[in-house]
Amino acid sequence: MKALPNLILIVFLLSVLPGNALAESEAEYTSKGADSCLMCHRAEKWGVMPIFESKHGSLTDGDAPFSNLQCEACHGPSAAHMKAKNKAEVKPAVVFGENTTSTAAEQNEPCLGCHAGHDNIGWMGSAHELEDVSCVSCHSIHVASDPVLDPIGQQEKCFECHQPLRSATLRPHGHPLRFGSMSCSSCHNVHNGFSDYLLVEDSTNDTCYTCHAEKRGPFLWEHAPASEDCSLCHEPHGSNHPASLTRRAPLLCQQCHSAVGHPAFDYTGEDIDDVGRQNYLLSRSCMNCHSQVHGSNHPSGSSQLR
Amino acid sequence: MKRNKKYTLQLALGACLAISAGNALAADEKAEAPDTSNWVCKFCVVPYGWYGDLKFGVLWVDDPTPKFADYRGLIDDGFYADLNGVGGWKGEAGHYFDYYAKNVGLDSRILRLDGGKQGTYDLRAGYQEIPRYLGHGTVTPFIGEGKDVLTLPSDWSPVNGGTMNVAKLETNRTVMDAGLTLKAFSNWRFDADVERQEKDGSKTSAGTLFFVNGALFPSPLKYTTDRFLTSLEYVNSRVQLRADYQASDFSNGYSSVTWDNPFTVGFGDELSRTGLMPDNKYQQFSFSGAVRITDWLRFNGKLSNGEAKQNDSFLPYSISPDYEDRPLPRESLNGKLETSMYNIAGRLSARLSKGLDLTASYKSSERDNKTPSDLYEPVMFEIYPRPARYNRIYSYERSLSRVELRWRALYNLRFLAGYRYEERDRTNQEVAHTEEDTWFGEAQWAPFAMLDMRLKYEDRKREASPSVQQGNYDRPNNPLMRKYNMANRDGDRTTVEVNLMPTERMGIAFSYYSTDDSYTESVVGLTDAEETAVSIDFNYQFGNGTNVYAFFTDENYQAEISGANGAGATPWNSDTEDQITSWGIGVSGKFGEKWGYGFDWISSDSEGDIFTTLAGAGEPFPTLTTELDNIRLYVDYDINERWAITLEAYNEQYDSTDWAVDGVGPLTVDGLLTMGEISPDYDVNVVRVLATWRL
Repeated sequence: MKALPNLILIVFLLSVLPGNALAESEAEYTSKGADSCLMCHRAEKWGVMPIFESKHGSLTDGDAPFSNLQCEACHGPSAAHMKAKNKAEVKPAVVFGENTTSTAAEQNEPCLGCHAGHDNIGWMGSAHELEDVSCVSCHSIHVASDPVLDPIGQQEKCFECHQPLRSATLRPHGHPLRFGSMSCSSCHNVHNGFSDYLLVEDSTNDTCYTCHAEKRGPFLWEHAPASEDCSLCHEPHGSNHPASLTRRAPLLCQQCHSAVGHPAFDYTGEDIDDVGRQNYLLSRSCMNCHSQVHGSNHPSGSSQLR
Repeated sequence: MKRNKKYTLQLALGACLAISAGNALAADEKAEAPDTSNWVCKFCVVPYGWYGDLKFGVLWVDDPTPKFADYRGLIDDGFYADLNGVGGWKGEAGHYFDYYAKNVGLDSRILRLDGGKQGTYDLRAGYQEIPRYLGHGTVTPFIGEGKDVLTLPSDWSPVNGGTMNVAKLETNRTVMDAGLTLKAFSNWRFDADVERQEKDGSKTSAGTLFFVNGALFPSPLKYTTDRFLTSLEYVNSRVQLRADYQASDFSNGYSSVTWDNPFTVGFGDELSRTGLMPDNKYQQFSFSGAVRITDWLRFNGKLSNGEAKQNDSFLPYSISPDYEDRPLPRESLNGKLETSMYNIAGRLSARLSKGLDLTASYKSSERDNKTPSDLYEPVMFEIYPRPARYNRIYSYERSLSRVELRWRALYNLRFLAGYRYEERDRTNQEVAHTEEDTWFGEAQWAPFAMLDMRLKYEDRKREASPSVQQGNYDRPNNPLMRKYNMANRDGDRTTVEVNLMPTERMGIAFSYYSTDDSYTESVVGLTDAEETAVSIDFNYQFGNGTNVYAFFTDENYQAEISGANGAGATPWNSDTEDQITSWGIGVSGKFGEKWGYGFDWISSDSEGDIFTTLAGAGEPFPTLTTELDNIRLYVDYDINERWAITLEAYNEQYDSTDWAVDGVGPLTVDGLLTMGEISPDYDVNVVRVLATWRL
């Protein structure tokens, strides 16, 4: 750990070796604003006109792009593109989407010019920012209603990169994502890197408590893993086991509990029919008795029995 | 000498920063803003008035079950009214009104309304219900489901049972919220939101009885959570500042549930009482900010300070007359119970030269549990006292440092390397301190416009301080146990992602994720855990607007857990494996101008295997299985510009087997009263006819 400050310093030093930033070439805005652009791009094939049905297309909101530099508020000064004979070769200053010469940071800058506050204060340094995710990777701008604002549409967008999570939502036990009662953004603030996993609250547990406040406690008899991190026992994206548990009890509990007697028994398939062990194994297993696993406030609940 | 070396390093760093600043400031030069006074925007055609649609009609369900109805709300056979829609109204002066409606006729309804004047103020309100149906074939002899007193029928016998009632185990969560946003002077923004969540119904709970008997029963739920959130924000192009306050107030309509003992031995244990979730309050202040000193040097951070309180009156140690007057050390947690949480995060992103970024961050969080610890004398089974014990106070501290260097070597080639260091401290637990070092790297290469590849690798190593059992246990843990969240661990994670676009119309995405954690010094407990997931997505868009898609994901989760019935006993080993395979295919498109159609088939199968052996002998558990298939077909017809009609039908089949509940009736297990749950199966058809009215 002592090496960390020096490591940072070395990285800084290395960083500046190739450090001649290239000054941007001078660029000019068009003379007529959106009218210059829409002369061509109002054709249906470009699909840009629905922007006027969206908030971005407002002509009255002083903060909206079309009340300012119009198309060039986002695409940057584009006079060269407008004047060029071969417009495919001379692009606007910022071209959005994949397979463009504009980097994610360059694409995001116009967006952050207006949306730097609120949930985006933590954008810089967040996982998505570090992975070069551009705003338009998820958001559609030239549409009346952005599909990611719909719970189902949002999931489909997230699954494009987080493929296994689509499968997770189909598992037999989990949150109601596939029914649209929740969306990814119910738990994750994808613009904000202040918390782990881009969660909406400071910690995993605080995020869970926004809906499961009854488990916040603090309880007289706490169950340590429950107060530390819900995900030590639960898989929030969906699970093969009831209550979205990561494993089937009793093995779930035996990861941490091995006191002599029933917590340490070697439960096998034969014990399904073993009268002496069935009550520890079948139905809810350990939770047949230890039902207060999130904590108990009963003075006699020291073993999470009530 | 050391001092000189330190200054030399600082000077070098300062020089580097100065050079970079000069370079970066040069890059900061922007094109001069144009004179827009003559920009007419004659092509900017903003459609004012109403827009969007409303879809209304009927939905018919055939033979639903609780598992099918869970979250959907379609619990009964027959017809349901249905209303959905997205749209709103827009005025020329910037006023607007938006609505979002989903399943309004069902028990899973969502309605959101939003209105205001763009850029000035916004008013919003929402209403949502989330129904749960968890009673899959469940029955109970207890009378009074949903109430806090459960009684057994007069004909109850612990041997022969008694009259059984259907245990519904249903809950309904209602979420109501309202909020407003005010914007002023283009830099200031104020938000305030209130929310009430109510959750009513019943859920499975359990109690333990003399000697090791148990009973499952429907426990009542009457939760209310009120939340208030407000924030004030100042934003300009270089500085963003925000102050937040949130409060949460949870209350439970029931503090306990009293139930007749189905296995009473007659020593004052005829009745038993289980405590339910106590009320709690929480509030948090936080302050976050970001500042852009130059384009290449930015900071952001967040500071939070929260407090949770819980001060419900204690129940007596026992409902038994023999112990109900047994003195408690305090009548409640006495209002002195406080939990504080601190979260400090800071980030530095230094864009030192074009294509090279350094990001460093530090985060510290703490859960400081200030609950008083007292000596309690619990009573077990309402019959006998246990040894006195102190309630244990768990506190946590965590710090996380991270540094990450990104280098865009070419426009299509990017490298990333980084290091993460994490420390955790816990009180009153076996391990007081853990620290974990993680190195990670990533390469991304797009050799052609049609191909993008990404490879990530992470290697981590966690070291724990010595494991020392804490006292005050009835049953001390095996001294060889190492709890996996605080055990020594070596792990790695590999990610491979490939995106291929052979043509503009075709997309193929492949991903592979693998995680392997080995708990190197754990003899008892979790010793190894592995996860892999392989996915492939395919999408093709035909020229006529027809879209075809397919996806496939195969996931595998394996773990090895060991145990021993005593320190010197022969250890047992258990291998668990969960295998989940999901796939889907679908097509959507149009026939001519007026007809649209879609077809989707989604399938997900899972298997869970557990094989435990002692000295090499043992019988595996039967495989846990689930099979889900959903086949959906819909057809749209545009009657005219205003009206359309949609016919949608889907079939969903679900089959499952679960050795833990299948064949286990309420009294199958000696000394355990269950609710006779069965693993759910269903085959349900749904037909929906909706008329669409375009505003």
